[in-house]
Amino acid sequence: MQSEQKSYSPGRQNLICCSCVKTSYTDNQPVLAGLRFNGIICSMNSFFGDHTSVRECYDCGPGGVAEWPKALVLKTSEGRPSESSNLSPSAISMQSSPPGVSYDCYRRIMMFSLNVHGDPASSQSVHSALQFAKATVASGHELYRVFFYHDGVRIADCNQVPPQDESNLLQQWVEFAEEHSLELTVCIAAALKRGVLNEDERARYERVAANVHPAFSVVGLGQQIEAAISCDRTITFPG
Amino acid sequence: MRFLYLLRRPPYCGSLAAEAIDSILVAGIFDQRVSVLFKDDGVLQLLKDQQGQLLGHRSVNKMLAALPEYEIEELFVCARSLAERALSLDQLSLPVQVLDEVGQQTLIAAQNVVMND
Repeated sequence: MQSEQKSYSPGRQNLICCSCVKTSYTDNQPVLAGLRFNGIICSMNSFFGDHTSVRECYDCGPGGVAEWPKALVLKTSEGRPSESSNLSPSAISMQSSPPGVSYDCYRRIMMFSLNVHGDPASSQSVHSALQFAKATVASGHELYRVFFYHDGVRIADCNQVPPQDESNLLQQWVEFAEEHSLELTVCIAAALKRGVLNEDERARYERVAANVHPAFSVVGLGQQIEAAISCDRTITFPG
Repeated sequence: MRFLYLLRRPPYCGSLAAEAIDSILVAGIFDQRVSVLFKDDGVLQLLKDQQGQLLGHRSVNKMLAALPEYEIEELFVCARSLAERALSLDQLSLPVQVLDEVGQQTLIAAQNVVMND
């Protein structure tokens, strides 16, 4: 790798496109072979939104990037992502290095969002999503948001009493979310229809009891779309 | 970003279809390039002359009729799903493009986000 060390311009965003990245695996970590950078590999999503002004591939120069969605973004460690960046603060801190320190190895962090659509009691969807979420975090990736929609909103009902010899999905989700500071959201329209109400909605519609577990936020559908826009991958677990 | 909604559920299967359409419209509000692929029983959502009220629902074809108002005009149907159900394009309530399997692969591969129902 030493032989192919390249300089970079501090303070500017360095990009590299997929055709210039040759990945290999060391200790199960994907690395960029043949490149040394003081930089951060950003979320692939960074091209889609407001980052179109940054277009020069570090390795093959202007015009070398044929397919932007497949490219990776590198940012210098001195450079801070712009305010419109979709990177999470934790993704940045994990990859930041002091100025002047070269890294041989970069982990590609993907940001995931999950849509969970199945009923917790009558489909496998909510359970599968939890397993996927755990695997995502275990492999070093990040979860942006879990959005429960359709019958999936029933997971937020804190009145559910699963039999003792069955797993308590609600409790497992809550513990997982607390451990990883994960945002659990339920769609307000879908939740209202299914009798899953927080205190505000209970009061508004004058119902008997609020039953949303406090670990869940009741939000609009816009949160589902915003998450899909902000993430590298959106995975749906249908009912 | 390019969003594709892949709708495979029949129109009157609880409120699945209606809620999926809600999500599509919100994606339209977010100014994304949204397309919809109707596949399997999802093609039934496009049928003309639905009377959802008889089943206690809003008519799904009427909800879908709102898509062009949100500038969601890239609507696709799976050719095989139509053929399996002996449906022809003139039975559908919206103008759609028919795609074979290869065409669907190309469509899906071109997306940033694929949302299932």
